[in-house]
Amino acid sequence: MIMNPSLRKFALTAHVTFSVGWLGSVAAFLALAISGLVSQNSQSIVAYYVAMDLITRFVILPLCFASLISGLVQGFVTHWGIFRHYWVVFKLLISILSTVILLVHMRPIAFLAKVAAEGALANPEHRQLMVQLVFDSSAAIVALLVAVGLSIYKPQGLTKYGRRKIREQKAMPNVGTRPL
Amino acid sequence: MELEITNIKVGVHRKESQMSEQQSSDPNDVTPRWVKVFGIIFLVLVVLFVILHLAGGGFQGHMS
Repeated sequence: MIMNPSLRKFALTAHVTFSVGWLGSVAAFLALAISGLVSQNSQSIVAYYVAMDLITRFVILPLCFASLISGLVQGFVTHWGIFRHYWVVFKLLISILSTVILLVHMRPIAFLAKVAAEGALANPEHRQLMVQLVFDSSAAIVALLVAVGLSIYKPQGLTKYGRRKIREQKAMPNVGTRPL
Repeated sequence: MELEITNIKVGVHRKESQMSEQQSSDPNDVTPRWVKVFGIIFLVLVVLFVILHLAGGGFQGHMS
């Protein structure tokens, strides 16, 4: 797909903003999750879990989908493609897996916020869930940092599809409009 | 004598196969090691996720 260079730069800026915003909002979530786990003040705990629920629904989830969609747009409008380079494929896989994990966590986060608001977070099973949220958001940060690293370093390696595309372009040098 | 000729033939054959390997070893045709490492890590994480969350050990039990 051909895209105006200034529009392409705008799309890249949007993708970077959404992706780094996603990482930052998960970091904020982790800070709240740790605070909720270690705090002794019941009012603060309620505030932490209600805030985590709000951040998840209104910040992390929209940024997650915006990052995924803008990343796919980048794949379509630049020479990198979506399935040509391994680093792009891995970024896509990380984004999809992180999105799935986030969607799975939506209900338990809302549940904890509700239970915290009712002042009934003393159950050991709730404690286990609180620990799990700390662990999972830490894992999400690591995964998103790996995605950022892949974007910056762009390690070499063409997929089979990418190699075939190169061979096709070499065979027809005047036809290809998207160099690899 | 016959052994020497055989050795020479084997040597020539090896050199030819090495040359053909060098000709076909385009760096683009090789899957980099980092891809294999990342692939294994990714698969392990997916399996862990499935085991922890979907096979009964996840959140379902906590929210009833």
